[in-house]
Amino acid sequence: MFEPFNLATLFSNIFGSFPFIWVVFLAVLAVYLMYSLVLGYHWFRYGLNPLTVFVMMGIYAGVSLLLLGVTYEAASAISTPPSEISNYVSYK
Amino acid sequence: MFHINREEEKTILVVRKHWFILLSETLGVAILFALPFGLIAWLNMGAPGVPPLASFSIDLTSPGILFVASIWSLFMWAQLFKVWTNWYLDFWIVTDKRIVSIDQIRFFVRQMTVFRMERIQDVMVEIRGLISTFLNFGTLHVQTAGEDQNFYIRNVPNPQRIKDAIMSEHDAAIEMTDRTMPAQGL
Repeated sequence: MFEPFNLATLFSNIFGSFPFIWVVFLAVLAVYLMYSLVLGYHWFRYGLNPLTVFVMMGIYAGVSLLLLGVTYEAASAISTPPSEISNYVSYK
Repeated sequence: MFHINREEEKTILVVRKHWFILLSETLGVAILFALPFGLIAWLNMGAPGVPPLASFSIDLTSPGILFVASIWSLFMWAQLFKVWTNWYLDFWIVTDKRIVSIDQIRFFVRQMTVFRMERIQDVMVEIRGLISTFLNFGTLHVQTAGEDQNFYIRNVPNPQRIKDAIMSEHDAAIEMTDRTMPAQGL
């Protein structure tokens, strides 16, 4: 199998058997949460009208949750979610 | 949140950039968002002028593509709100006593300037270009007393109306100063 820069080997050395797609998902989630924190900080710290801020926050969070849900479902279709991996482990 | 003491001063105007500026920046993000999808659709259809790739076909409903597409959409969605935040937090507040200019340059970079009404010396309106003329938005320059103090806000809607409001408050502030500080030594 073609392995550019031996990334797959490097990855498995770092994360063991943890599926790559879920690492990507968690990284995206972490970046997204940090970005949202920065946005929220600016809105509440410097915004003029609390109602506008709350409405925009609702729209932002609603669509973001939907997109994160789609990302999660797509990742689940590619690889078993980490929380369910233990269900497939057979104990000898 | 930014507060003005309503008992001590009255807010006359809150001025933000024209909606066209927000729309044009939003369109930029929308085009960036649609670009990869358009490219995939274009290649799937058999792009004219591009050598045909017999085996090239991307299924947009496959989990892998859906995964990448949803991540892309998520970041473009966040980018859209960055544009909105920069627009929303960049404003001027005109009160009966002062003008507060808040310049939201980017995240964590803000510039706030306050100048009193009686210090204003000149207000100038500048409307340039076809779209600005039709949609009535432009740059408002305010010059104050002091060393080279010139403030401006770009692309504000109806700048002439804002100029009139500022000048009216300026005149009232000067009148009030003259009344409360009677001539001395005369």
